[in-house]
Amino acid sequence: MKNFKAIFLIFSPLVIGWIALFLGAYKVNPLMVLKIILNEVFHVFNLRDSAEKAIIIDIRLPRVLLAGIVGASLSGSGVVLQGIFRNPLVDPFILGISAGAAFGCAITVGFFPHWSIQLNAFIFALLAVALTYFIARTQGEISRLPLILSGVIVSAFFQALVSIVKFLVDPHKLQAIVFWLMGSFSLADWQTLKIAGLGALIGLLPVYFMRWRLNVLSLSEDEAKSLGVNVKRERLILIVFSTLAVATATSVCGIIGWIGLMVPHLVRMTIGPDHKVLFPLSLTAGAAFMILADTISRTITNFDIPVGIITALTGAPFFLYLLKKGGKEAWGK
Amino acid sequence: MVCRAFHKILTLWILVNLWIGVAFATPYTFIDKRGKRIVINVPVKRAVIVISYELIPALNLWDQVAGVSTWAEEHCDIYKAFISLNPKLKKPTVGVGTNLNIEAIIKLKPDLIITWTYAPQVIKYLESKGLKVFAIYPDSLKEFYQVLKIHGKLFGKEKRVEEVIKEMDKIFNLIKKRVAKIPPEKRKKVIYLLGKPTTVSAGIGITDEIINFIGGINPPGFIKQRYADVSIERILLWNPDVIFIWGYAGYTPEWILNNSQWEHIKAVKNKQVYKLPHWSTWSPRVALVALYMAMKIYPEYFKDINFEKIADNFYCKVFGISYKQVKPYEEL
Amino acid sequence: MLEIKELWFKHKGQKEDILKDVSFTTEKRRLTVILGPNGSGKSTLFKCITGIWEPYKGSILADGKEINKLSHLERAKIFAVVPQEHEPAFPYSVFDIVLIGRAPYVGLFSSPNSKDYKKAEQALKSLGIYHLRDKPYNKISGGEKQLVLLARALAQEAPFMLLDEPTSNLDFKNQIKVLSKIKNLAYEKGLTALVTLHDPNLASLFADKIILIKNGKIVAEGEPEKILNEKLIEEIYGVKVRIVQNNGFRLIFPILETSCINKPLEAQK
Repeated sequence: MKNFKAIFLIFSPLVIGWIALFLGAYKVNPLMVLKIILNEVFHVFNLRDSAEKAIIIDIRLPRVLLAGIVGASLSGSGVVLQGIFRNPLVDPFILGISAGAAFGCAITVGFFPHWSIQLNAFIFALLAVALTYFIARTQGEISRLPLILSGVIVSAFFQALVSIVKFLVDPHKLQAIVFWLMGSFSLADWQTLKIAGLGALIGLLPVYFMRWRLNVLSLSEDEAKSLGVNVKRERLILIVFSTLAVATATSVCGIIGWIGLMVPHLVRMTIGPDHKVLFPLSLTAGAAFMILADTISRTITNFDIPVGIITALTGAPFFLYLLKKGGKEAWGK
Repeated sequence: MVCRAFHKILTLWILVNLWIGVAFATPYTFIDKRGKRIVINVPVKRAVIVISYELIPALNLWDQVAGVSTWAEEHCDIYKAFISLNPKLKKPTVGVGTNLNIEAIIKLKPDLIITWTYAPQVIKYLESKGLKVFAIYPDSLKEFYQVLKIHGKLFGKEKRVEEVIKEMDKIFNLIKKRVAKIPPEKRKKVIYLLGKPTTVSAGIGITDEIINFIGGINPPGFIKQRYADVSIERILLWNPDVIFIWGYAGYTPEWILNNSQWEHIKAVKNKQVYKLPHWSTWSPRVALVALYMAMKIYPEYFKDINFEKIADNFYCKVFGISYKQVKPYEEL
Repeated sequence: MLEIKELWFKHKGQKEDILKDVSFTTEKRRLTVILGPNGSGKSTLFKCITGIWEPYKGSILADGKEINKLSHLERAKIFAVVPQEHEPAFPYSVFDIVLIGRAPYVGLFSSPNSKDYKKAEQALKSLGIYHLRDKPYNKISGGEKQLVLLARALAQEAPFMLLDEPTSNLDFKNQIKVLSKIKNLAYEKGLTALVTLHDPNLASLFADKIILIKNGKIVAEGEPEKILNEKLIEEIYGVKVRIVQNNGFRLIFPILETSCINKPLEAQK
């Protein structure tokens, strides 16, 4: 049974992603979709450049892939944070990563439109995490509660800064910022995909290799130390790299909530807490979930609903249901 | 006998003055965009104008305005042209629409503040300090005309407003006549893009009205909102003939023309992607904006029209300044 | 052999020394018990030995090697620490937890290999709890939990096993079971076991050597028969006791203050 669940989770993004290619506002004949994709890979047919081809290859495909990468980045980061803080209800927001990245983007869009949004997002996300780390570290060592508290403070700080930017910026540019802040994949293209992919790869690959280590790091600090783990250093490595993945994702499509919190938790409830399996399956489940949410957001009405709303609307009730069903176990106690 | 006559004349004179004073300071009641009823003595002597600053030169309100928004001073070409020609006209600035400098406003002791409805909390705050606020957000030309007329009443410039409206109507009628000739099947689909390339002007607002007025079709018009964020697919589905980009957007027509995702849209194929000049649609210049758009969409119907000439004429009649004088201050 | 030499410890900024000139040794294949009442400094001593706190004077030598100079990783291959309580944040299975004991041998960017898995299995079998391997740790009994932690320490393959009050939360049967297991493991696998306890009877039953500590000072060191006497226990614990010998076993029980509680009911009238 467990193997079956694992296989389901591994292949879910592929299945959902594949189906998503066939869905969209511009109705393309499914056979045509197949032809176009096969043509792109194998060059069998001699297809002219057409609107349909552009839709599938230049618009839908990068969008689906981007959603997958962002979903994986966010939930991968969630796994790391929940493991390190021994708390299944922690996510990238708590550390202030998203707020920092959001500020970097807002300030770029508002005042420095010639600079790279991604770079600034990354810089400020790292700054936020560094701030969180150093504020918490003044206590001597970083334990769970001080770090969460300082993360909340830093997050609130950067959100206030974003408000200031919104206040100062031209009310018309504001529109772009506000909508971007809500999270959307509507401008996904191969360029942004490359950026997000690179960020995800650099950020998540080291974490992938360290995934079993998360089991050890999820013990109390003293216990982990007695098992030979350099707790401070390893936590730092994990946080920095997962931040990179999240910041890149946020810079490309704005703030999307719930995934980093919910997916790791759901996967854990399905196949258990062993990070050796939990981490990779959270990546794929996160990808699947995000693709699903984005597909809903762009097909259900005549305009794009911000995907963050979809993740909240679908995620929250399901999450509550599983929590109720799982009882105390769901909380790991 | 002479004394009594003198007293009579004196009393009469005093009464007449009082009467004139009262008549000239009649309270005027109107309702603003929020539905709030505002009662104020007109003509207004000290106004702070945050949003309708182009009406200052248009209605000659220089002596009745105590402060303007920073936006006017920094980005409005007409306003800048006037100030540079006559530095004495410079007014204190009070911040921008969403970030008004409350202290600066209060210091000016204004009778009325005219701003837009974007930041209701700012308006509430001003009103809590005992200031009167006229909030506007015209979603149609009719509403805009109403706003113009209210301005006329507020500042005692009713006649001038009628003149401005007349000039605007001249251009609108010109457009109307020309596009009436266009058969329905030849009407072109027009999309107006805002802050993001995927944000389109939808069914509510002046932009939608203009597109329809100039004989175009606004495909997202059925979405009953001011604007909507859509997927590129949907824009491809609508396949507009012409694309206009809002003047203050952060991207250019070239970005769209060189983007493989937009390649197959008719407007892109025919290179009919234009960025509008930095003219607000909440100004008498909206008539010129309409003309500009109409001429880009149906050039064959406006072949004999010289836009610059009409613009120049409009500027002189409405603002009292020539187009040539303003052009150096236009932002690109 | 573990040698503690002249250990002194106090918290930063405090004037009072918590540990004063502590010295003792423990032997291989033997179970040594650090015995003392609450507040005697047992836990502090334990934390200094395991490296959580650092003594400002003195040295700890494991088989001749200075422990304090080693990195956490090297220390983990020598000392296996069994904590008093283990509250996992997530419902790991018993096997997952025992496997964690292999951490010192698994690289930073690796996962356990088949050898590690085998060692974990062997550890479970040694303790007779292999049948529990797939159960969630938080669903087994207190005694079984302690055995799991023992298995983890075994999997760590360290020559020294240090346990902090392993019986505090256990019932009567499991206290016996766990301490028996520790003693057997020490003997069979050639480990040096060091355990902190506060119950003198348990210490007397299982310890090969007892280190008596009070107020941060070592009061006595030696075999239970030799050092556990009524006078010393009263001195350490402040409780009058009587020691009864029977068939080679020793029982220490407290003498209660004469009060109406002790007299038979009739005599109370």
